[in-house]
Amino acid sequence: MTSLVIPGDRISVDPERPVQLGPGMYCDPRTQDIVPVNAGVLHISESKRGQTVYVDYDSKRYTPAVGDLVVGVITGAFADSYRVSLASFSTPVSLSYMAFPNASKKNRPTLVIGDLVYARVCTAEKELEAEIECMDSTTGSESGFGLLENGTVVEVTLGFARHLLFDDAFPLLRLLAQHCKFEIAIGVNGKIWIKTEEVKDTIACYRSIKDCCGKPQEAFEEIIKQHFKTVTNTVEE
Amino acid sequence: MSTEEEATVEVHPVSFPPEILARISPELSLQRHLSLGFRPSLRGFEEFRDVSVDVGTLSRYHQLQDPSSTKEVGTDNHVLGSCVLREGDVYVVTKITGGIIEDVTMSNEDIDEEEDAELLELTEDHSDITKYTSVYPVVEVERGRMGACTDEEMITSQKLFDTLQHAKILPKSSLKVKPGVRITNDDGTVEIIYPDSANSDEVMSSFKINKKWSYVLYARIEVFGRTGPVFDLCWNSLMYALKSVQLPKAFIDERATDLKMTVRTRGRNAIIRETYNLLCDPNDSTPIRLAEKNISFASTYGLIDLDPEADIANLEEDADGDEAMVDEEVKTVLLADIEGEAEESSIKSNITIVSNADGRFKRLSIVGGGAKITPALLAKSIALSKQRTADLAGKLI
Amino acid sequence: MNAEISYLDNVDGSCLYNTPHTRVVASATGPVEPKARQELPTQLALELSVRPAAGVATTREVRIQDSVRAVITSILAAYKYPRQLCQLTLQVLQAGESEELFHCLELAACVNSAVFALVDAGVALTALALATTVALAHDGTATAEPSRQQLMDARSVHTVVFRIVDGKPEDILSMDSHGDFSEADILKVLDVAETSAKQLNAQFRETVLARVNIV
Repeated sequence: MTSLVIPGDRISVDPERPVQLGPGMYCDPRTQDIVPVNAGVLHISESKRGQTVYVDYDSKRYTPAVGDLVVGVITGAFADSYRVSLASFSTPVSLSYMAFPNASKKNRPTLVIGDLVYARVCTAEKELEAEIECMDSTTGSESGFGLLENGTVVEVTLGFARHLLFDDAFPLLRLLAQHCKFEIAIGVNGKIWIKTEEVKDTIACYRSIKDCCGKPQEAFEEIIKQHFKTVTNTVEE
Repeated sequence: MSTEEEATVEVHPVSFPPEILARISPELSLQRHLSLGFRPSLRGFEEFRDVSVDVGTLSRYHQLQDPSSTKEVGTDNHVLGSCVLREGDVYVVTKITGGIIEDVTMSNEDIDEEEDAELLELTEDHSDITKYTSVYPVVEVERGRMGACTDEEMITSQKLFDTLQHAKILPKSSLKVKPGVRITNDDGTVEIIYPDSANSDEVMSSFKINKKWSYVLYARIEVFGRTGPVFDLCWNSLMYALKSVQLPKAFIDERATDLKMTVRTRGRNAIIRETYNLLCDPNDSTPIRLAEKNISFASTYGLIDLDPEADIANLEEDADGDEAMVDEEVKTVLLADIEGEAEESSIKSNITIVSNADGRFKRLSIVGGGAKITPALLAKSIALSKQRTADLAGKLI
Repeated sequence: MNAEISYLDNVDGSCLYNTPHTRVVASATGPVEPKARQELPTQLALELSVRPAAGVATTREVRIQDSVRAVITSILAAYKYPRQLCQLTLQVLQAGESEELFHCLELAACVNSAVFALVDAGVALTALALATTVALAHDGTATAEPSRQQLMDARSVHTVVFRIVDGKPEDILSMDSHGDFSEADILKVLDVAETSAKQLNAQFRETVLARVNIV
């Protein structure tokens, strides 16, 4: 069941059975009322353990949640961890030296301030500093996490980043691939890292992603074509 | 693995004397008091603090009651009206001072002052807001330290200014300066003739005064020993002080009334200006004319939901039972005249009412967010405010 | 009323709020890291500044700020963001009223634009707050959203803010009245304001729906 909700709307859940609250939902600690706190599309689904309720809403400010794949910037280094920024002006998160593959006391990671990393949020309690890790902690393998070298970062809205990462039918990446070869890392914190072989392709990709954000999917093809045409023409002139 | 016995932790209840509980948990302390039917200040829910006022004693025109005293008090200060208000342990000292400004936006269509005054009486209900003015208040809440003014002081000052403007108490016409003329008689004696004094017409008609002046009033309000919201205290104090204001009479020396000066600008002597030197009479003054029926008084009410869990009666009765009062309806109480840190910090919803003796309102401010403000509670606070206004208005001289 | 949501690019949430008389740009940023002195151990701190259409902020703006703050803090789900900060900046572009006498239209526009900006930023709110201004003329007619002249001619002016829960005005979050009025007038004003708040709420939903659908 999906419908638009606005903060303060009443939602109907069966009070007899357990309810799991996702993003955009809030349980008032005093009255125990369940209310949506963001404006977006309400999703209520039945799962084995009960009902799951969340609001799908778009925003720009990222708040860490466990399991999220993020692109962060190293902003500081301490005795046993890095300080990483996931969004400008937000409280930074920490990345322990032990959260890398094959880490040991002697074997320190070699990241420096300003480096980009692709990581996963491993703890996110609202009262505590969130932590991220650069490995798959179940297997101990790298799994694609770690330093992102070269390339550029595009900042988009969080909703757009989620579509890009999780929606297999989302046409943007397929359309980009028709024009050039690229490596991409999508963080649900709204940062997309992209690396291509040539600068002109990077520019075209950057502009395309930026422009497609907030536009209907049908318009993507035209936007991308236009940007690639512009850079190709400029280079040839 | 630990055994059953090791896992049990003994919990000791901690108890505090009331005054310490009030410091560490004001909310709980307040709720406990309320459940017993009175407030931390030991007042009843709808009981106001008593107000005593001392009006006009700080002003320059105040005469000592004792005729044996030859010395006049206050004649050396510039306070035109004053009030020392005491409510509970709070003192509010209001001193009204003034200045004179030249009205630059004068037009010929301006209604004659006499007519204007009559018009005012007739059309009081339909009067235009621009015909009224306000005083410029500076509220200072003394906290035993110096520094920039706090937000509370700024907000209270601004509210006083706005409320006085909209309450239409101070007509612009009563602040018009009606200057007299100081003339030197043939025998060398100096005399000041005012427009309202006897046989002034012949003297006044010989001098043509083209310019117009107005008084402006400033109020300096000092609050000592603040215990809660101060707007109502400041407003009431301002009302009493304003009522006692005496405006000094002003005059122009006859030699200055038609003074012509040649002003040399860029080598030309073409421009001629007249200047007046307006002087204030040190002894003579007139009481200020206010729109009496709009004089009004303020009162503050707090609304708070009673927390059944903090109810002492419940605590004692069902030490074992717990879910007895779960679905009880939330009971909201109205507390008049908020006082003390516990009440101020725990009460989120409050109502401030400024009303006059006829039961008309000049200002109503509701802040919600805590207890729900129902029409019934609003009506109750309105009824209380009428009583309070009647009480306070009785203290006016 | 019309509101252009996401009007500014570099803040988390923003809105250009237009009424026939008043225009306000609101920007919201948060939750972000607070300065040490702003930090509250258990909840979201709110930094609010109101800028006038002309000149520098005075006590008048401090007063508007205070009223807006009271409304916004009571709808924020503040305990969801401990030790965080939300910054709200409200720039009045056009006051629409005589600034030395009134502040009611600006107050209402500031509250509404702030709520729009917070919704746009995705800051958690437990309910909406919508403000309306009502002027009572000497003959007793009540006008919602009065013009500059109607304010000047009014016997009393009122700004009422309702908490909107489940699409309906549920209770009064704030009321700020000046002038000369009776008990019956208060009830009348609340009635007119409630109708006006319902209309605003419908427009609000439409605007937000349009925004959600773009994504």
